[in-house]
Amino acid sequence: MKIFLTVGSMLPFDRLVAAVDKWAEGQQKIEVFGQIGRTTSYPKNINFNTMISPSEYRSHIINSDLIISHVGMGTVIAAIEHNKPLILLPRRLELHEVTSNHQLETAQWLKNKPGIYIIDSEDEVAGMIAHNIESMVVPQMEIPAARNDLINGIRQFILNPNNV
Amino acid sequence: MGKNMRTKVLAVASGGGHWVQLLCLRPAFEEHDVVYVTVQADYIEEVVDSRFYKVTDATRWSRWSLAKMVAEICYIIIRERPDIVISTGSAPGAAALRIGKWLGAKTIWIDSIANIQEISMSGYKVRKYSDLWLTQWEHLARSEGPRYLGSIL
Repeated sequence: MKIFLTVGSMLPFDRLVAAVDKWAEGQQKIEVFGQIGRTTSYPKNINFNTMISPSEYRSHIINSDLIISHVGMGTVIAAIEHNKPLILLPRRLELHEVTSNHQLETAQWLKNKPGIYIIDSEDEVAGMIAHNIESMVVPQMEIPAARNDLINGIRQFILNPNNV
Repeated sequence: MGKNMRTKVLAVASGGGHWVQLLCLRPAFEEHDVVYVTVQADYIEEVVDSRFYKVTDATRWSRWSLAKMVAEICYIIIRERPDIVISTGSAPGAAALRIGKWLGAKTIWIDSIANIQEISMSGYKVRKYSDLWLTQWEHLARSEGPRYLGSIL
């Protein structure tokens, strides 16, 4: 059983990393790898790297059973495309973890989607992992018609840019 | 048109979700001659067969890195002379749209799907430089723009 923790390439997210590290203490069954961002607060109980390449990132997504992350669209899209459940903690502006509060808004939109579990505080990490790990629903992904509409709209514009 | 008559597309995105969303939209432009611009050198792994530039990852908080990024974008656009500049944000994309427009390109801005309540600051700033100015949320569409044509999720 594998968990992939990722905080994105922009800012560290020590609050989430510390919570996962604390959960990982004293348990051996589940392998955890963390992409922890440019921080000097290193976890003690999980394998980690500060930054990883796209191919390493994709490999972790594919080979993990559960993804824990901030509310970053790159990770959300990747997890949905590979049908992996997500536990997401929004970054907060008042804690200087992000430059605007849009992650809270994005979390509100995502929280009713199957396979996506939003937590409001890092204290909920351990409970969410422990109780749900066997019964987690996976996100269902088919490329929505809306994506094809957007692609076709852009494509038509490029073929005929003077004809908006 | 470039001298071989293929449309040249400059596809620009900053890191993380901006880059992922740009790649989701690849089917819209990959039949053309595409040059990618982004802020992390190892992203080239995902567009191995295309030309690729890495630029400084500037945010609006650092004037020096912003100036450096704009100079890099200028160089790329003058060198490549794209017919189309497309971006999913944020700051490097906005710079590329402005400079590209000034040099005669047609421009496309797709605001990130993460911007649910309002269009992003970069997106708002480039509204006058966007020939196709798009939001991925229907409730944000307006008669004066942005338009809604669809969304990636």
